[in-house]
Amino acid sequence: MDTKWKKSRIIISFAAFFLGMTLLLSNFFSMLRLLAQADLGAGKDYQETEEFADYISGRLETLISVAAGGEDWDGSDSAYGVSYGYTYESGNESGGFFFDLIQSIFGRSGETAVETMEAESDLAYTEDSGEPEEDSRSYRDSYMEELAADRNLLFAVLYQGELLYTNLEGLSAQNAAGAGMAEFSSGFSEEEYNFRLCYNGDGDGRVEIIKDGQPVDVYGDGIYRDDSRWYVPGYTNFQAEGRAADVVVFLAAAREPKLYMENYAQGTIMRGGELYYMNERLMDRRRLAGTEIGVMSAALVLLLLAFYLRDSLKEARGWMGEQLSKIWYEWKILLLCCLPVALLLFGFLTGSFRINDLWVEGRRLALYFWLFYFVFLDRKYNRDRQKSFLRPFLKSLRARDLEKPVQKRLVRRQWLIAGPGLLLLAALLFLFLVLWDIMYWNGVIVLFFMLVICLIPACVCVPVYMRKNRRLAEDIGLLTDRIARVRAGDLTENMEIPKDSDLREAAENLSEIRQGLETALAERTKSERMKVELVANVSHDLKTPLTSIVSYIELLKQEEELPEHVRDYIRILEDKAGRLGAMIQDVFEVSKAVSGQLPVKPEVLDFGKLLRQTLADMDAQIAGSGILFRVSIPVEPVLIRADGQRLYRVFQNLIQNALQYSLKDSRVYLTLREEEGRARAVIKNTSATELDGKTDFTERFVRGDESRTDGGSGLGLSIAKSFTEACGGCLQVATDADLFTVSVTFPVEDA
Amino acid sequence: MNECVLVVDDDREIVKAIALLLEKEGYRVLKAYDGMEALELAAEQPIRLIIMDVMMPRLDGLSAVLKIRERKNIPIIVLSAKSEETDKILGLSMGADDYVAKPFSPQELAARVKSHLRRYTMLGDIHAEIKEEGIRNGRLLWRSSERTLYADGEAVKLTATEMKIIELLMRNPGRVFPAEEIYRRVWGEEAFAVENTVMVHIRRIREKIELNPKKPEYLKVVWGIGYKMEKIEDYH
Repeated sequence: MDTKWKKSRIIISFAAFFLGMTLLLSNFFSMLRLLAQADLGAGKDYQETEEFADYISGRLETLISVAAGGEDWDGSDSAYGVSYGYTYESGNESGGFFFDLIQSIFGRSGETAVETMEAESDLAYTEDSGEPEEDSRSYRDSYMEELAADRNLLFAVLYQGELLYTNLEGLSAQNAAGAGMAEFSSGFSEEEYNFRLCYNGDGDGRVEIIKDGQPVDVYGDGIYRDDSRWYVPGYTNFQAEGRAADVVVFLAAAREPKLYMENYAQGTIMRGGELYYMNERLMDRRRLAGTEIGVMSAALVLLLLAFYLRDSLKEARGWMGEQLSKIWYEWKILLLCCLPVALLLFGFLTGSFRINDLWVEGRRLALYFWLFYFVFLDRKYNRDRQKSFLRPFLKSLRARDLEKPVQKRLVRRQWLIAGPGLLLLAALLFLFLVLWDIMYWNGVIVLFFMLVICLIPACVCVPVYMRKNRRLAEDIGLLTDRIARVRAGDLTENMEIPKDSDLREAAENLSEIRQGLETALAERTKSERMKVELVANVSHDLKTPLTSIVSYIELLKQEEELPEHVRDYIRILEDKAGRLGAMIQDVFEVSKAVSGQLPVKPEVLDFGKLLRQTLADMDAQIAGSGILFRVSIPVEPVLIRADGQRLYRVFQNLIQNALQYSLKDSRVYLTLREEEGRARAVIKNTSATELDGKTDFTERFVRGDESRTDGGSGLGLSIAKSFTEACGGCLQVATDADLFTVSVTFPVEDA
Repeated sequence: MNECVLVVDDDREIVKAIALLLEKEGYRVLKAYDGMEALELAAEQPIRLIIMDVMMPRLDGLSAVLKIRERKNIPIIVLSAKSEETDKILGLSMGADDYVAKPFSPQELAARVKSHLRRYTMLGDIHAEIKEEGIRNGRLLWRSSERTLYADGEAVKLTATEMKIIELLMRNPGRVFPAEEIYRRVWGEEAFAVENTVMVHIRRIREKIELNPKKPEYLKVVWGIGYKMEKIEDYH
């Protein structure tokens, strides 16, 4: 029960939405058109329309010109001496496609619309009236006869008091002359003819209008303008002059115009069409408006219902999407491309294609809407599950594309955008060269189809190109980011790049490099640790026998009655044993420092003071070396963060180095400078031996003298460097000829 | 009086050498070559001091120290080939009184033995007399009344300046004094470029009070800051 109700809800919601949208859209333009027509107001009769005013004004002018023009009147004169013109149009047969289009958009309202209709009715009238029956009769007489036959409009025309024409029975010239409006009115029922007009009744050249017994304000402020309703004389700037001033016209229009038929041998002639159809059209429009409003209300109600059932509507959309997925993708594309084209083509072929009937075309709006709605549904629900028979083919094409190197792929991709462009150019060229002769309207049509032909591939190719390019850009971004991360030492994860990406290979290579780095780093860490362990064990194993050596040397020393040369030997043994012990300790420490396992206790200290203390500590050695120290250390504190004990070892080693390897009687320069937030201690000395400028002195066991006959372990600079770095500083060695320079730099700590 | 010292090491030559050296100093020396032997001897003999190697078969040095500490309060000096700070701290926390890294200087070892024995013995005396007044720091004792520094109970001969420096530092153990401050307070003059002067005096004092002046335990340089008297906890 529940599911059944749910199902019907879904159906109802979608049906409501479908009907509502269709009604709304198909009536949208007709609604607009109706709204554009001003004279639809309820309660107004046809006599209040502008069309009527124009008609009456026209008739009045004609009658005045007939009366004033005498026997020779041929319809061409204007009673008021100005060119009096309606724009006569032959309707849709001329002007052409675009003219109609423009007119349909801009011109189909108000005045112009009315004029066109008037023109049409005039035409009908002329046709209906046929040729004058007798050649001898003047155009005027036949015209007046026509006019008189239309009993919807009663008239009486007087010239200098003499009754010329009338279609009002029982109105004599004498009566008419002086009696004016009242007398004229007595000839018909006020109920039947509720509109009356009198021109020049009082000899003042003005028009008087009475409708339903009430006078109508004709002149307003008395000045005639383009938008004045009544085109009749009597305005201060529009006066009847000359003979027209001697004419008096009475007019009366029927409340409900009828058709008057006359049967002749030749057939039936219809009279009085103008007013009758004017009224009918108004009634028609009213009825149509009623229908439109009803339809629109129904559409809105349906849409509200659909909105109320929007949850079900969503399910309905899902179902629709699923149904759409069962259609071949290519069919959809074809349908989408061909349907609008087919519609246009159908219009051209049958000749029914007239965009000036925009409201007719508007009914197709619903069709277009549903077309796009289903495209939207398809895109939304079936993005990844399109059924396609071209896909396997495209897939193999793409696979082959992927085999090519990335640069070739990128270059080939340019054709996706260049191809349609070239096609378009070629089409235009073809058009101008071959179809030059038929360039006019047909040419426009051909151009249109050419554009369609070129636009379809462009619509397919350009988005594909853009999408691929965007993906490439994104992948490049990812890859660059990843490279930067690997460079920064982040070796944790692999990047995710889709299989068909242009950069797949690069990403995989990077991934391998990363893994290689990770492995190498792990191996290095492991081997460093093993090295330290090895060194620790070796140094331990060396220390035990060394302890015995040192102890027995001590015992030997305590022996009395040893010859002097034996005492000498013992001194040498003692000296070398001591050096051996120091060296073992050095090797152990430097291997720890290099592998980053040296414990450091950083604290803020005065770099200058540390240097002074070190110099003071080594004062005896320096004094005994014969080497002069030139020291320049600022008095004010230079604060750095370092492990003092380690840093002391650094400078102890550096100073010892300088003492040991300097040229005899030369000078060593020790300076401390603070520059740009860095404290820099520099020790310069002149080497006793020649420096080749190639040796890296901070390498372990490297000495200036390759023969290793001097007393050093070769670890001094190495320890200095690794200890400095362990403390967070930087040690650099530079040689210039025989000048040996070591600089130790630390960032200055803010006090 | 021939105080009895127990030397324990699995390296017989080292034991022999240490024994010879100590016997020359006038001590009676007992020898053991592993931890178990050491425990047995320590239980049987009236031993006054033990020199113990860490790495030994059967029972290692540190475990032996723990066991001996359960019953005896005699000074124990630990020998080790490991010279790292952590090993030293571990040894001391196990109950050793001193830690000497191999290869050690025989004189230093002898000096340490002497120092520990003197303090151990003297402590007994002091306990008997209850006469100690002054500032004690490890082996050192400063008596202001006499203006004398005692190391292991023996008066150290100091010059007037050295005395003033020692007084300043002994009264503030653990505090770091910049050279300038020491100079101002000892010499009573404005300090300028005094690092060398102060350092020379410090070095001389070390020669007089430290067991190994090259590896000072008491008078230390705090590099880049100044000098201080290390505060040494006494285990006895």
